[in-house]
Amino acid sequence: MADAPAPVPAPVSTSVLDVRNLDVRFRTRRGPVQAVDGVSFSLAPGEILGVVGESGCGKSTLCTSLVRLLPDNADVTGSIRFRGEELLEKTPAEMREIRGRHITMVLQNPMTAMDPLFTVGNQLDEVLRHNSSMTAEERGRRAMEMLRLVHIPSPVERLRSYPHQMSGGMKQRVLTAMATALKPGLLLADEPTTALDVTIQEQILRLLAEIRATLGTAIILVTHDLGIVRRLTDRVVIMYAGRAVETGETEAIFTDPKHPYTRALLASIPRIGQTARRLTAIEGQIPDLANLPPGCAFAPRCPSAMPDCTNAFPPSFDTGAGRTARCWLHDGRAA
Amino acid sequence: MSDVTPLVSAEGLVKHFPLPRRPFAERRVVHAVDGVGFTINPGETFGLVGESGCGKTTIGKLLLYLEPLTAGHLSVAGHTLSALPSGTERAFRRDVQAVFQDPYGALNPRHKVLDVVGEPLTVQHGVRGAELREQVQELLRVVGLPPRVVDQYPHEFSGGQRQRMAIARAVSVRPKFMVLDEPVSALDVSIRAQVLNLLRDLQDELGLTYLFIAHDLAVVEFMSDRVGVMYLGKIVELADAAELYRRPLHPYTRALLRAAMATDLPRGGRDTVSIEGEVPSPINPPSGCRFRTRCPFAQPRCAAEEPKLASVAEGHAVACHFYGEIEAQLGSPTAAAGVA
Repeated sequence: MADAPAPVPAPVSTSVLDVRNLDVRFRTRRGPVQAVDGVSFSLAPGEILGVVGESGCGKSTLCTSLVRLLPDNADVTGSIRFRGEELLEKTPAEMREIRGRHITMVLQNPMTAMDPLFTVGNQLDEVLRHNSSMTAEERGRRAMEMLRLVHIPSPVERLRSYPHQMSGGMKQRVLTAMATALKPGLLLADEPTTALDVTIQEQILRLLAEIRATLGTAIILVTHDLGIVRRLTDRVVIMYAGRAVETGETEAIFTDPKHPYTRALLASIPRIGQTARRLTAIEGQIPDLANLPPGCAFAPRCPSAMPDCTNAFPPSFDTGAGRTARCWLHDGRAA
Repeated sequence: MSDVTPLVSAEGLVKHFPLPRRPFAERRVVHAVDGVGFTINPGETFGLVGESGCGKTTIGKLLLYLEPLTAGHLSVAGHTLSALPSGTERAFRRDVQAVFQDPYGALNPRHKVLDVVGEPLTVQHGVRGAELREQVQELLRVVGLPPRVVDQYPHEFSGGQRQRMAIARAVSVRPKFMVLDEPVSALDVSIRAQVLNLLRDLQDELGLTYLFIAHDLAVVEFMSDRVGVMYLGKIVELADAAELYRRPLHPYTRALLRAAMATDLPRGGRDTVSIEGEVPSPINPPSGCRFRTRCPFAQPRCAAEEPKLASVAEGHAVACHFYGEIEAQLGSPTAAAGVA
């Protein structure tokens, strides 16, 4: 946080991250597959943004493209501005520097995210050694401080233990400590609690909220779990078949969803205290990205589909209060 | 309710898995299930909910006779499982079927849908050839798949479609009782509701009785008539589904509810019970109440004396010394749920 952003001739913006018209296309043997299609959003410092969707909706690809870790057969176009700097123009060396220090990640599987041959202390120290100019003593202090911040009991002993001596929840705490040890501006959390039990999940979510509060880190939380999104995020991007079909403030979207997919998804989840004998299911299957239906990809499953929906994919319509929906129902000209 | 003969009755079920012996050390065992009892009436769904390692899947396996009992008495659909006589296993498999979590591992990738779904019919009733094909096509129609898929292979289908095939196979022999172990947790959110609806429709049409095992409380409530909450090999609370969510009494049930209700409730949720720490090892479970190491209300008595699962209201039992005091302090956290 100490170093000022380099003087780039960019519009001054208050956001940490500004993503505009992001496209990710994979060249595959079956032909091109568009995994992310025209996604735009921005993120204020200390904000938590949820990226939600089902498998194959492009949410993880989107997250990975932000730090440019996609495989070579992926073409990324559009704009990703981090603190005013265009990430798509960075060299691999510059990206490495940004990744270690300013944008960090916590991934789904804490079991495989650590090296089984090194102690927790070694691994935390490595993060600090490679990405900062701290002395050994400062690094040791910082490591302890971080383990305390993530509520690891008896941190002194923990620094000497190996990953296999810890439970999944404990490892995820340590990984969160590693990811936030250098006070990054942005933390990408891709399904951070999916592999954990519900009561442990609850603890990790509380931890992420604390990290945001104490370090001011902005967080992008990628998940399929709408409960987690409602619980933790300020704003949300709902994805379907590579497109951001609805964006806006979390509470507003949960109480008044504008896109038929969001509405159907929320209705299909059983709720505590609900007495209905049947759930309102979304019929049909999730489309294959390599073989998308024409027009709106949700049209074949959509209860409100109109004949026009299969002709063209709707652009992003403004639905008020900083919200957008990619659905012809919100085409102002139509009504 | 009491004048009905239960289809499943379990008394004092115990399942210990011995660990490999280490030299000069006492043999250690994993206490997977430690004294669990319940009954399931015909046509009813009994839900078991809890976190990993609580023993819910082991109970499913005991009821399927996939694991022998360490102790206890178990009767399932008229079969007594502590001593299933050899030769009756085939009849048992006709009456009791299962659907598991992973629809990818459950279907043999080398067999066509016809053989995958039709195998129990061939084994149990010797159905073959054109008749088998016809019956499998009918089963596929029942579970909402087009009959023409009989000649395709499982890998051509999505997880939700495969789970429908697994369900078609399970109901093909007209079982009386089915164990459903996390049948929707591997599926996408928009597909889950389809499969849950299908399971309920089949239950109504075929008069099935279910044991429904899951970690998601909202899903368990939707499916179940009665629910048992498990923690470290024990049932800590047992009640009618609606009652359990209206009036959870055990601190662990309250904690699970807090985690699960998040979808329904705005940020921050309600202030119920939030628990620290992790599930202790089932090799060396804590003395007294097994939840006491994580319980914010634990007292010295909890370590000394194990709370019995005791009835507190019609059809509602809880294993906690201090549920009354806790309820007086916290009230019923879900009273206003579902408003959001």
